Amino acid sequence: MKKIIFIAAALVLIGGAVGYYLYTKPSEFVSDGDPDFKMNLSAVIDESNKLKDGEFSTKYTGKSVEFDAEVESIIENGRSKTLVLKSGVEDFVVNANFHESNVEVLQKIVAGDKVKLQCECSGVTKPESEDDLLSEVVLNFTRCNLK
Amino acid sequence: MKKVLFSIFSLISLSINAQVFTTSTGNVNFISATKFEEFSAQNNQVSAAVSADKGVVQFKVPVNSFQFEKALMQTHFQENYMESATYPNSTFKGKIKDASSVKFNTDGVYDVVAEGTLELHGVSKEISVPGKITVKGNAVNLAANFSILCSDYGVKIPKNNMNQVSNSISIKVNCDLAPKKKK
Repeated sequence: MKKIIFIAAALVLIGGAVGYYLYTKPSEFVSDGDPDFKMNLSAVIDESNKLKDGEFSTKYTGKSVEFDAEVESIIENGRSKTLVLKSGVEDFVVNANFHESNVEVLQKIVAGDKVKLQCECSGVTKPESEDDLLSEVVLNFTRCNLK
Repeated sequence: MKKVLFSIFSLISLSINAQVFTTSTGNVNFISATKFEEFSAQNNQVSAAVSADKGVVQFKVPVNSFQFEKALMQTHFQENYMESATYPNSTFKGKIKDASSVKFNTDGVYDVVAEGTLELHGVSKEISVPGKITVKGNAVNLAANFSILCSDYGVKIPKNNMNQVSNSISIKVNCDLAPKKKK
């Protein structure tokens, strides 16, 4: 009987500890490790144009992508920074956001630089109609890191 | 000479008033605060636009771009609360009330009210949001603070989480816009 109570108590404690760890586990703000995709940025852009929105989202959203790109401009977003990347396509914007914890890596980056990035794809937004004020297609990446 | 100057001035005014200001890197933050817990999330990938002549304002907020301090919250927010796979964007489309009072060609801070449709989690509601438009040179900043109720948009908070997640969410908008590049 005592053994059973001891084992039950141990399981509750372990379960509680695991639950507490999962609940308080901090987000990973930088994409690292092996990427889910390694491809040219132009290939990602092509896919975002060819695939239906849901298909692109299923394939890429939340996944890490390693790609080469050229920096068009750098924007300060509060404490984070965004690299606006050259897409080579009219009315197509590519944003790569670096979390505030990782902006130091961008100290020497300037417009015109060629970079290799690993980011998490957060999706693509498209205009809803021809007269939409938001007339650009925007491909967004977050948790970016320089490789 | 006066006629020429007047014509030039009118053309410049017309072109500024026809101007659309946009961004794809705007900021939206939200805070949930209960007696037991407070948490926030940030989104730096908001698309926003304002039309100087029509007073039309638009926002598109990609739900997957919200970043939380805790990983589990991020997952729950996207998968359970906002169902981002089904509803990837939240949008606001509206008009500035008394838009003519905002002089996009004159530096200044203008108190405005935007009235329009907020679509969130697949549910649309008409809302009225007070805010500020700040014009400085060629740049326009849109800022607003307002609150919404999760229940108004079908976002269900499980009973187990009601102590941690508030039904009332405070939203802060801060977007720096630039003139839209003409083709």
